[in-house]
Amino acid sequence: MMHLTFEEISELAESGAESRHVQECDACRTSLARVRRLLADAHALPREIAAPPEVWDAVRARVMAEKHVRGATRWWHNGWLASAAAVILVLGTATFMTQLSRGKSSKAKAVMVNPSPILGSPALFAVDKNYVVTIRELRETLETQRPNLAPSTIQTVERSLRVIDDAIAEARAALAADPANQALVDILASHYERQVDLLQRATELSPSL
Amino acid sequence: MRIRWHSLTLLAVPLASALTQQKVDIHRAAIPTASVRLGGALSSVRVIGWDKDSIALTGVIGAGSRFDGGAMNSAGPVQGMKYYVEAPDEGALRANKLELRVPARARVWIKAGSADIEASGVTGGLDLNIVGGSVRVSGTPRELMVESMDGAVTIDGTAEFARVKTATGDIVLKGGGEDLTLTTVSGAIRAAEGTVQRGRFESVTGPIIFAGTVARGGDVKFDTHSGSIELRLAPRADLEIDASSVTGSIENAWTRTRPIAGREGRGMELGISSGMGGARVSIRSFKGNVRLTTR
Repeated sequence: MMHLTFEEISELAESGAESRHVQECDACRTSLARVRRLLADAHALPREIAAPPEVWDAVRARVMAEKHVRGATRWWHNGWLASAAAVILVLGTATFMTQLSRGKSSKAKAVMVNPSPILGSPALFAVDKNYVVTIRELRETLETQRPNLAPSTIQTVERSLRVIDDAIAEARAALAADPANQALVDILASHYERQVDLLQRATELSPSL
Repeated sequence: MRIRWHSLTLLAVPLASALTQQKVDIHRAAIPTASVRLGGALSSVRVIGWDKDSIALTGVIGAGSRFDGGAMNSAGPVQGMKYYVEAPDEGALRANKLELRVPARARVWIKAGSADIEASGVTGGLDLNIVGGSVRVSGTPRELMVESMDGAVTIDGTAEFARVKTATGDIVLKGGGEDLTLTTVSGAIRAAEGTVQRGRFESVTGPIIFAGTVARGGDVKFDTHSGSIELRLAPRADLEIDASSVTGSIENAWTRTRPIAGREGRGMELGISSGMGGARVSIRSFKGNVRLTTR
């Protein structure tokens, strides 16, 4: 028996409707009951909760403290220190990615094409760090779903991921060579966005599609 | 509103053991903004928006396929309906063909694998998701969402709000809209004939050809990595164009303004203000070539 998706259960919970499947399926009936309880609890919550005054005092104090720290030590404006930090950060990322890829099966490697480490700018690292973890998690999710997807679907997804990987590699190399180029930062970020979007869509495909 | 019960219910029960093709023939009275969901192993779905307050789901389900679902409410006009089809194999899937007639303002959601979906006359919402096959939408849906992997998408009409995404499938827009985003990885995007208020046309390697009109005050962006971008513009259109390519070329055959060398002598940039300005066009490419021509 095929179970209802979470979206379907949510719809039933919100509409108050019943379905034949729920009447017959213990698992879905239990899930529906839990979601309905959750909804009831959520509705019972107050619409607004005022933060106690001491919370605001603490936030204000912390913001002021951080301002002092930033003002006193703008370390990234020191050339050599910034360069060293960038190298360490990029090397750290490279090491992390290498460790990551070592832990995967050969089958997984076919899907998991990671950005190759390029020693470069903080700008490159800044863009990478916004997406690398998300993309890795999505690829892992896709890998777990691989057996449920049609081979032709897997092929299409992998082909498109390779196309985006190639574009990311080119944009990263260009940004490493021209770190102050904001257009390249935007291009790289947009490629990552497309990759995240494609992976999300692929992971949302139903079994056997 | 009259509640009409024609031949129905016969197929609102699971048909797991069906050995022959099953005819689907479901008719229900519905509210004008009813929500209908179809999903699963379908090879062909035709959606037609009509000016009746009722839903008609007809067609054929192949031998061995399972058809399940029903209305969200059992009494009164249908507010929402949901049906799901399961097929044991590709052969059975190919036989699963449905036609769905809904009130024009209804919202229709379809998720299928390799399917050909045709939708016309729906002025409500369409949310269509396929892997392969094709999607063809005509009319003026208020909200249009299409996602496809390698299936081609054709929109013939005007959408108030549209988001179309493919991986390798081509996207053809014969019309316009107020807020459009067309995105592909390696498919081609071709847009013509319509007027666009706000638009984004994005590809990684696929070519983009735009021969539409940008509305006064509009804002349209084109973005590619290595695909070509070609804009076929009306002579003396009121546009402010800002184009740049990191390593690709820019050719302007629309006005006399010549592109200049880009940053550090690589790539090209072009800025044009034509007529009264009034609408903005941004073009960004990494290494794809950009060409502006007169249509």
